[in-house]
Parts: sequence; C-alpha cells; structure tokens
Amino acid sequence: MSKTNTLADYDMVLALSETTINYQFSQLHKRNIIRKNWSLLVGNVLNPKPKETPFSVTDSDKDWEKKLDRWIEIQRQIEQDEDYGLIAKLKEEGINFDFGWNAQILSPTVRIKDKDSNNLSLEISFKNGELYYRPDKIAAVRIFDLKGCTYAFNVPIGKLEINKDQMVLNAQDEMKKVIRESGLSEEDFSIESLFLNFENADITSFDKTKSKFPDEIALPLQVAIQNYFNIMVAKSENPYVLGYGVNRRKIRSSENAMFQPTSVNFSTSYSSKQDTTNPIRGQFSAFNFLMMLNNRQASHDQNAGVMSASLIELGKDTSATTDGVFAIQNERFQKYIDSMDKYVESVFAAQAGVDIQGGFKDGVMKAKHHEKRIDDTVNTVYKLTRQAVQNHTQPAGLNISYKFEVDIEVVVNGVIHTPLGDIQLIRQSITLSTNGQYTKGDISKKGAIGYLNFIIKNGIQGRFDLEYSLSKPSIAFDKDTNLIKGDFWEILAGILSLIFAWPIKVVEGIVNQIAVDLGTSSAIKEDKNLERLRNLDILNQTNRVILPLGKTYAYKNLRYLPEKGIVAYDIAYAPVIE
Amino acid sequence: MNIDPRHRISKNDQVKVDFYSELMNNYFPESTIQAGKDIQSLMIGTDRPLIFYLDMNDHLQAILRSEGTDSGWLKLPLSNGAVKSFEIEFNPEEKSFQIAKVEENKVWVSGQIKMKRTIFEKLDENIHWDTLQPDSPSEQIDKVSIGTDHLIYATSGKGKDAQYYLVELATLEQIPYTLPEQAKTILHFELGNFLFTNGVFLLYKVGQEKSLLYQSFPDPDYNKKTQRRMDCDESINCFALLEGQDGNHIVYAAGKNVHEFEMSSDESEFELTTLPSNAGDIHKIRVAGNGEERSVWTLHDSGLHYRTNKFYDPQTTSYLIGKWTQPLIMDANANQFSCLKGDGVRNQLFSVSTKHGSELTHLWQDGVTTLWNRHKLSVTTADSLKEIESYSVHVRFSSPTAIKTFAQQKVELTSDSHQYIYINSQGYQIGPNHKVSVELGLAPEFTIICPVDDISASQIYINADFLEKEVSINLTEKVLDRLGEKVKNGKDLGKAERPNGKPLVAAGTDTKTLDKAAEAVQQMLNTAKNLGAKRPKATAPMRTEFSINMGQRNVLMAGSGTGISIIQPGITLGDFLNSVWHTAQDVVSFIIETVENGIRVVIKIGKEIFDWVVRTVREIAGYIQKIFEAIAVFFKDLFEFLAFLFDWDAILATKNAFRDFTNEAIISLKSEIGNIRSFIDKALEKEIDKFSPELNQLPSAVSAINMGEPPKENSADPRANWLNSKKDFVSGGEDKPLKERMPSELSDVLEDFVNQAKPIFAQLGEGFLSQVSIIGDAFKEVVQGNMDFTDFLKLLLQKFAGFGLLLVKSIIDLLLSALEALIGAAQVGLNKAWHIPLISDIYREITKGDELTFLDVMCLFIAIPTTVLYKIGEGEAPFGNAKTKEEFVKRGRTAFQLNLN
Repeated sequence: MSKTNTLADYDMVLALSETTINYQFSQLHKRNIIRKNWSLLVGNVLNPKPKETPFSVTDSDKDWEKKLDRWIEIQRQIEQDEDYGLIAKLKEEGINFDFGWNAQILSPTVRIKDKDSNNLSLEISFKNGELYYRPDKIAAVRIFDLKGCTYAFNVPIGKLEINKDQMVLNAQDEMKKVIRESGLSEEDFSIESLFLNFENADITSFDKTKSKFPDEIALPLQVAIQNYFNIMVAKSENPYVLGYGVNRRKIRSSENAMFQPTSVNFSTSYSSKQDTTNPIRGQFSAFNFLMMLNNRQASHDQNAGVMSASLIELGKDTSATTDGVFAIQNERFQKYIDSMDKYVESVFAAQAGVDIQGGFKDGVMKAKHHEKRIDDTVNTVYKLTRQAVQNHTQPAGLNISYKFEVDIEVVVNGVIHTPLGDIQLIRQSITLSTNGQYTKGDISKKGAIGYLNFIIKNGIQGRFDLEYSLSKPSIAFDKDTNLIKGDFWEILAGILSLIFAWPIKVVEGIVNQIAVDLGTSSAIKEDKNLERLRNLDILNQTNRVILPLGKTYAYKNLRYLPEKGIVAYDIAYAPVIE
Repeated sequence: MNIDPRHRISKNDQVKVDFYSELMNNYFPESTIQAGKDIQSLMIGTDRPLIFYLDMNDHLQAILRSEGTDSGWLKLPLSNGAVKSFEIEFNPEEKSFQIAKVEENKVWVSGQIKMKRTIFEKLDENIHWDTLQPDSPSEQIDKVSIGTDHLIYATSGKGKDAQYYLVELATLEQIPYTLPEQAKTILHFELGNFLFTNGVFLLYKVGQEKSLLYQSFPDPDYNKKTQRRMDCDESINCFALLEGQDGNHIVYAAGKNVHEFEMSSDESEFELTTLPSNAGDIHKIRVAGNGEERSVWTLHDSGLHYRTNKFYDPQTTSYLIGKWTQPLIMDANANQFSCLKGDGVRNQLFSVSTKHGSELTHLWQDGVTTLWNRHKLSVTTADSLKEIESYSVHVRFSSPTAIKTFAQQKVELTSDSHQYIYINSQGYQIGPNHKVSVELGLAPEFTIICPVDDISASQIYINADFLEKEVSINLTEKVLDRLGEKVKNGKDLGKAERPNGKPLVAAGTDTKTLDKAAEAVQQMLNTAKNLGAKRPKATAPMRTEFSINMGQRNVLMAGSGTGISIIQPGITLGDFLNSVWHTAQDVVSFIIETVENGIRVVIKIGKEIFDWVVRTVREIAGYIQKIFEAIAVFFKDLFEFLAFLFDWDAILATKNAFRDFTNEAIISLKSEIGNIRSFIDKALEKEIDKFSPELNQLPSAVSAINMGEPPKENSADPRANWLNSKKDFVSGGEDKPLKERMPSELSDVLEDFVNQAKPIFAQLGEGFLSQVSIIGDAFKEVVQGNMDFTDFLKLLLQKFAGFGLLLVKSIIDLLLSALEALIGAAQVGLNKAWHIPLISDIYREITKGDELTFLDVMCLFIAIPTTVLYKIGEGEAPFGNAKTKEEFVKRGRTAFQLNLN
C-alpha cells in the first residue's frame, strides 16, 4: 500500500461526474428509453384479503381512461350515497383499484451527498399529472396534483455490488461460464447498467430531505410509489420501472485487459467545486467505480472506498468533452513498466554476442559484449539504468527513459621497433567510454551518455501507443591520448578503425529493432530474431487493450501524479457502437 | 403583343403536324466545365440539381440546372479567389441550405438560402457572407465543415498541432474544440445529427490507428456531450453521412467494406449493416437518398463503384427497398464525385477524372428504363463549339385555314422516359412528369435536339390546345427503319458498309453469328414497332436464341447453360448494360422472347443469367445497340452507318451559287429599282379610289398558289432545317444587340427602316403579320426562280389590299427606299465578315478557315435545306456541274427585272 492512499485502498477507480450521469439519464429520458409517462391503476395492495393478489391496468389498455373515470365515479357514489353494494360492482368490473397515476415524469437525477460516500439520492420529479388514491374501500378517490412534486429516495450504493448471479441468469448458457471466469464486463460500467443498479437498490428508502411535495400527499405518494415499484419490479416482463425499456448495452467481449478488474464496489465523492464560467451542480462530484485487480480482495476497512477528495478535481481537461477521471495505483501500473524492462532486455539479448547478465536488477542492466581480433580484444559493457516515470508534457503521455553508458576496454598488443633494432612486445590497454573526454583521430567527439526514451501515449479503446526516441551515445578516450605517440598510435589507430564501430553498431541495431517492433519503420528486413521478438508480450500489449472499459470510455491525458501515487487519465463516456 | 383570339388557330382548324427525326451531329456554342478538387451537390427542387465545385484555379463555382436556358446549365461564380475548403449544409426542416468556404485565410459563411424564395439564377449576387478568423493570424485555416446550428474549422501552424474552432452560427461566437481521445490528426470531420443531438462526426488518428467518433455539442443544461465511437472491425478510411427519416444521420464508414450505422427503430440500439463489397480499399465515399431509397458510391483503386438498396427482383419484376446490391463499377477513372437521388432521373452522379481532362461529367439513370446516360456538363460560351451526337427533330404545324396564326400558342411536350433535350437550342429535362412548354412564334415550328450516347432515345409526346389529340414522336423510328432495311439478314449485315466504304462488321465474323444477330435485331425492331403503335398487333410469340464469345466474338450455338446462378443479383437492365456488359469476356448467350407488351431478354454469361422484360422503345434500342457491341460494332460505327452526314462540299457549292446569284441580282436590282417604284406608284395611284387586284390581271398561276399550305419540300425535316435550328444564334446571344453584330452598313439601314416602320405597323395591326410571312415565303420563291418578280409584286399588293392603300403606299415607299439604301450598302456590307456565335465557328470549321459574311449566312440558311433536299430527291447535289451554276447565277441578273407584258 502506498503512503498516499488516494484511491482509498482500491487498485483502480473510475470517477464519473454527477453531471454526466444526470446528462446521460436525460438523454435516455428524452428518447423515452426511460419512460416519461406513468399511467397505471393498481389494486389489491392496501390491506388485501388473503388470495387477493395485486393487479394493475396500464395505458396500453384502450379502456384505461374509461376505467379510471368509472372507478372515481363509483367511489364517489359509495362515499356520498353510502351504497356499499357498489364495492362488489368494482370487483366485478375489475376496477377495484387502490391507487393510480396519470403523470409525466422529468428526467430522473442523482444527487451526490456531502460527507456520505455510501449513499446517493435518486430523485424523480413530476412534470405534471395526478395521483389517485383511495384511503379505504368506502372512501372517494382523492386526487392530487403532482406538478412540481419530487420524490427522492436513498440509494445505498455503498452496499451495492454488481450481482454476478443476476448477470448469469440473464446470460445464455455458453456465456455463463465466460462471465463467471472473466470477472466484470464492460456492460457493468455503462450508464444503462448504472441506472438499473440504482433501481435495484431499495427504492422505498424515501429521502425526506430531498423530496418535495405538500404534506397531504406524503402518505399516498409514498404508499403509491412503494407499491408501484414492488408490483412493477415483480413483473417479469417489465422488471424495471424507471428504466422501462432500458436494456444493458450489449458490448462484444474484448480481449482481457492487462488491468482487468475482478471486482467492483461503489462510492461517491462530493465536491463543492464548480466550473467558474459555467457552474452546474455536481460537475466535480464523483460516482466512483472502485475496482480490484487479479482477484485481489478489497479491504474491509470501514474507510475503504472513502476518498479524501473527488478524483475529478484532478482532471486536466474539464471541458464538456470529458466526464471524469480514471486512476490506477502506481504500484499496479508498475506491472506495465516492468514488462517494458523485459522488452529492452530482449532486444539487447538478441544482438549477436551480447550477454545481458541476467537482465535488470534494481532498474540497472549490464550487458556485455566481447570481441577478439587476432591478439586484440574489445570488451564492451552497456550499462542501462531505467529512469523514473516522468510526465511528458507535449503531447500528454508518460515518459520512461533508459540511460545507457557504454564502457569499452581495448587491450592492444603492439610491436614497436626500437632504435637498436630489437623487437619488443608491448601490451597496452586503452579505455573508451561515454564519460571519455579525450579525442584523437577518428574519435572526434567527446563521450556522451545515450538515452533510449519510450513515451506511452493513449491509443484507441484503452490501448497504449508506444513511441521511442534515441539520443545516441558517443564514446571517447578516458585518458589523454596525446600520451600515446609515434608508431604505437599508428598501430592502435589501425586497430581502432577496425573495431571502433562495434559498440555503436550494436546500438543502431537495437534502435532498428525497436522501430520494427513498434511498427514505425518498414525499412528493415525482418530476420529470425525479429520474428521471435514479435511474440514478446510487450508487443502484443501495445496492440491489446491495456486499460479496462475501453469500449465504454475514451481515455486521454495520461499522466503520472507522484504526489498522489497514481497514474491518471481523463475519461469521456463514449461507448463504441459495433 | 396580344393576338385577337379570332385570329388564333384552334382545334377546329385541322392542324397537321409534320415531323421528321434524324440521327445526326449537332453543334452548340458550349464548353465543358473543368473541375478540380471537390464536388458537392444538392437538389434544390424536384430533379433540379445544384452542383458546387472547385475549378482548376480552386475557385468555387456553382452549376445550376436551369430549364429553358441555352445549355440547360448555368454557371455561378461563388468566390473571388482560391478556396481551400468548402461545404454545403442542407437543413431539411427549414428547407434551406448554407455554404461555408475558406478563402483568404478566413472562413466565409453564407446566410440561410431558402429553397423556396431564392432566385437561384442570381445566387452569386444574392449571397450574404459573414467572415470568421482564428485567434492568431499565423494560423492557416485548412478545412471547414458546417451543420445546421454550428460550424467547425481547423487550423494549423508551423510546429503546432491542429486546432479546432467551434462556431455558433446564430451568434458567430467561436470557442476552441476538444476531443475525448489524443488525436494526432483529424482526417475528416463533418457536422451532423446523431442520437437526437447535433454534433460532429470525426475520423482521426490516435497513434497508428484510426477512430471514428460522434461528439454532440454541449448540452445547455448540463454542459455535457453525447459521444459514441463507431467500430467495424477494420480500419476506416473515410465516411459519409445521409440524412435519415428521423432527422438523425445514417453513417456510412468505409474501409475495404462499407458499414452502415443506423439507429434502429427502438432508438436504444444501432443496426450495423456491412454492405457487400469486393473491390478493395475505399478512398472516398458518397451517399445519396430519396425517401427509403439509397445509393452508395465508393471510389476504389479500380474505379468508382455504385450500390443501391433498391434491389430488383426478377421473379416479381418489382423492387425490394432495403436490400443492397453488389457494387458495380460505374466509372474506371473518376476521382472526384458527388451523387444525388431524384425521382425521374433516379440516380445522378457528377464526376471528374483528372486523368482525362478534368471535365465535369454527368452520369444519370433514367427512372423509367433504368438506362444510364452520360454527358459532359457544359455551359454556354460564345467562342467554343461542342459537337453533339443527337436525334434531331423538326416539328412543323400547318393548317389549311391560313389566315389564323399559331403565334403565342403553347405546345407541351412530355416523354415516356427521362432525357435531357434542347428545344430551339434551349436545354430542358423532359420526362413523364417533366413537362416542357414551348411558345410558338410566327413560324409554327420548333426543333428538338436530343443528345444521345447510343441509338436509343425517348418517345416524345406533344400536346397543344389546337391539337385534337396527342401526337407521339418516336425519335428513333427513321433510324430503326433504316436499320431494319439495311440489316434484313446476316448477309446484309456482313455486307453493310459505312460511308467511307469500310465494312460495318469486321471481316471474318462468323456468318452464323451475323444471321442470329440480324434475326435478333429484326425481332427487336418488330417489337419496337408494336410498342410504338397505339393498338399493338397481336403477333405470334417469337423466340431467338444465340451465343457470342465476347472474347473471340465467334458464335457458339445456343443450348448450353444449365446450373444457373443469378448474375449480380438485384441489378437492373440499365446497370447491366452500363457495368456488367463491358466486363463480359466469356460466352454470352441471348434469348429474346416476345411477351405481352414487350420483350423478355435473358442474357447468360457463363453460368450466370440476367433476366429482364423490356417495355419501351428506348430500352429496345439500347439493347439493339448492345447486340451490335457483341459483334464489335460500337456506337460510333453505328452512328456513321445510320446517321445523316452532311456533305459540306455540296452545301458550300450551293451556297456559293446563291451568293453569286444574289450579288448579280443586287446589281440588277439597283438599276431596276426606279422602274419598280414607278410601277407601284402607277398601280397604286391609278386605283387609289377603287383598287382591285384583279384589275392588274394576276397570272392564274399566282392565284392558284395556296400560300397556307407549305410546299412539299418545305415539310419538316431536321436535315433540311439543320441550320434553321440554329437561327436563334443569329438573333440570340446576350452580349450585344443584333444590330451591333451586323455590318454597320446594313444595321444603319435596318435601324432607319425599323424607326420609320413602327408607326406604320402600329396602324396596320396584328393581321398584317400573318400576311407578311406569306409575302416572305413568296419572296423566297422569287429568289429561287419559282416566281416571277412581277407576280410577286402583284401578290404583295393583293395581300396588302385590305390594309388601306395609303398605308400600303407608305410602307412600300419605305420598303423601296430601304431597299435602295440597302443596295447601296449591300455590296460592301453583305460581303463583309460577320461573326455569329456558333455559325461562324461551324463555317470556319467546314471551309477550313474562311470568314463568314452576312451574305454567306443568308445563303447558308437556304443552301443547307436546298442541298439536302435536292440530294434526297435527285440523288445528286444541285450544283454538281459548273454549267448549272453558271446558268443559275446568270438568272440573278433578271430576277428583279419587271416583265410587264
């Protein structure tokens, strides 16, 4: 666990703004996917006798209005004339209702609560219409004007879990196994699913503070709504009341993401922050999808999922285009960086004669290369040090760089003619490195450390795009070459010119390989090594969904927030039509 | 000028209609249009397209279909300088459109152009433009796209990422625009409607991949956008939008295939349909719709392909709407195009091939026959000549009750299928529901020119108040008759020669093939005759069957072909003839079978079969054309074989004879004019109180002439009246009035004459005009040597008798003094070069460079019909030998001599 617990013990959090949820609900409502009209008459719900089961008549019945009028008329007669014989008539005609609606609702809205991460309020406001309520069988129907009324109920999202069993029930046989094994599907993160989840919550937990209606309606409305939901939800062909017609979006299963969540919980984070130019309620308040990876168990700590601040406040693009923020714990993201090391190792290992000596240890790899020509040997050490993840500013993305130092030791056997004519064997060692400051002959530049940079950028549908760049290392003599004089220099220079190119050639070979691997260059012919490399994980991963929910959300502005211990993205709710 | 209804010709006047249709070349003072980078089009009315394009200098131009104007197309300039990008947005609710363009590094946006109230002919003058600029002048505007409420434009700058601006059209306020993904480059964007919101469709690159996104504009209540990405399992190269019935756009995304994203009726899900495809990567896509019918045009390396969801079901011989056809190649070379769908002219395509001259080409499909037609769009230009292969018809009305006039009477024309035609040199679209109305002038005649690219053409119907019943003109009748006579059997066909003496059919073509082809042609011709007839004769069912190897063009006997599959399912005869035909390399078998009201045509290519019932003459002619193509005889060959070709040398000889005659006559007239004047004066003065023409003892021959009935050789014939159909160019032309284009010597005289004649004509009244035309005809007789000049003068007096002798005297005085002045000027003026659009050009072409004089023009008008008719009658040119010409010219000296015995 990191010191900064930004994600409140979870591996990943997707924070969707309250405004976005409300906007998406409004679109579903506008298109009548969330049903606008409530026209319903319900009977046998208030003090029913045994064997009396609830029944209802909707406006799909062409006599719906007639039945409503007739019911009201008979009840009026019963009360006025005290003619209780008419009660039997009500039953006979099948209009023995307890209550009814004929109303139009506005788009439902959610409200994220301050200092309460476990509950949100779902509000249903009536545009206009009437509520019909019969307090008892011998009373006249009371008619209430619903215009301007709001019924709010509490959704204890902290207790909500995506019920896998229910998903399995809905799925076809062959899909059941897939769902059970694959963890969560993208569908669970769509607005439609969210809406259905809210609805499945205990809808009767009436929220007095957020509701708005005259006192005298309070009881009838609550009774009506409770019963309405109970009846309608119970009906199999119409399982969802608010979401009449709302179906889970069908999303084709994509390959498993590298960061595939295996469990999800919900919480909310209230934020009082608002856009200065265009303030709208809930712009920075977040509904959080709290996710765990790799079947890791979520913490049972009381404060798990309770974030100190809304993640949306961390958004880089807060324009109308984006809908929230997605964040991964830095430690989890490290998995990807580690796979990058493996790739770099493999590229070096693929070069002829290069020994990677077990690869990276604590972020450092020393690869060795040994070359021998007659009596001369050239030993090269490539020392690669991975540098910390950094934010690459333009364009937004993460920068990971490998610094490499090249040390070369040249051991030369030279033959020098003395004035006496004697032949003497001199063994002399000369070293060159990226730190070398001395130049002579072909070595005309001072040494410089090379950098291999990888930039991780957002790709489509949650993929990563990798870009690389190289600043080539250069090597120079570590000691003053002016000390090397006369015939010996000539011999040495001859040897150097033959072997000098080697370390640089290896570097060039590596760069070429990366270019081919990442598909940015087609100029280089593939050889067997490259083919082998093609199968490496990293390459697959660049073409594979790395982030989850890539078909439901679009990602941008990948950035590293070290002080928060997370890697974050801006997200937009942009489902894929396929 | 209003004509007294009593003088109008009516149904009771036994009006006779003469017409004659001929396949021949025609010339128009038009030039084709060269277009460059982009073409967009719009229907501004039923079957009335408006085409926008960038010309070779990147100037934005519009071409308007404009019925009754010279070429039928009107060009309207819409920019002063080069335009980098433009877009047209049609608003179906408001029935209006807007134009946005990038010019001088500004975005220009037009006001709303209402379909109803706009005078499109003056669109260029009446557009109100607003301009927009990016935040920094260093940003270069690259592209603009306009929607109903918004506009988006893209800019780029050195070392900068592309920037996007969103503009609210109502206020012209602009804000920066952002995307939900990290886009490197936006390849294409277009404003549209989706999920009941307004927004932008964008195709952009993210890393190595492409993403197609819809993004709505922010919602005012929540400041949020609706966003959807579209995925179809392949890399998308381009997309096109089509306005759907519910106001949302249907998206057509194209990679190698075309994918249709349409909101399904329950509005919660989308229907993703992948259209059949087999032609490789698509570089460009355009879609057109008309109601539920849609057509998709895609550009591949192999050319421009077409698909439609109007699927022809040969079983029921009806269409299934909603089932897509396979892509058919329509044009191998087009690289810019725009498509439209209409009612009568069902599919229209405007395309440009930069490989072949960048001419804007109009490919269109007739809704009735399904045949595809192609022509290069043209606009009228004075200094250009366009040769057009056409059916030309001269239609002439006559009535024995000559005293009444046809002037200002309306004639209405329709046709059995759709066609673009010229009537009196004005372009029109004609069809079953496309009426063309022509007003007759003093001469009750008009010319129809119907450009064709094969031997088929529509049947034309004429209606008028003065006609007892509808008159039907079969444009192809004469040519098909001629074909029938010339190709009675395979032997004839083998021997048939073109005018240059070369055989029509390549030597060595199999005789059995020729026999079968001729038999098929004869059968088709018989059916065509029957279809044309009001009451078709009951003919015995016939069936001809033959095969041709398209590769080797050798016959293979019929009877093969089991295991039938359907050739390119869903396509029509027109599609088949236009697209599939050319690709056939194997054995092709034809079965032609007479069925009720038409012919059933079955074509087998290999194991595949195409089955269609032909019901119009036009389809039959189109099909006959294809039978000839099967034996490697193409339209240009058939045209040479069947068309009337002008023998320009003979015409020039006739014209020269007339010219010399006239020059002679003028000289003699000059010396004779004094005598004429005194004769008229004497005759008039003598009888001023009790004038009676009889006293002048008119020769019986003159009295016997019934001026109302046109002489035989004057009956309608487009060949004879070839130049007649171009008369309008002498009087027409918008640049200068006629008198300025005449030699000044003549125009001065004419002006004097007109000024003095006006008050006299005013007193003479309307009836006078009809008399003038009779006198005019009589004068022609004099010139042609058919009438004595004295007789002519007597006739003149007789005809004018009813108008009061004093007036007659004054007009004759005027005529004579004008004549005197004219004669003075004549020899100079008549022989001076005179430039008339078209005619001068044709003349220069046929004479290989001679300048046309005024006299030449007048003589040509006579020479062409004379030569043509003489040749038809006598089998040789009128002035074939020098002696004849000499004698004729000599007669000019005595043409105007008085012979007062």
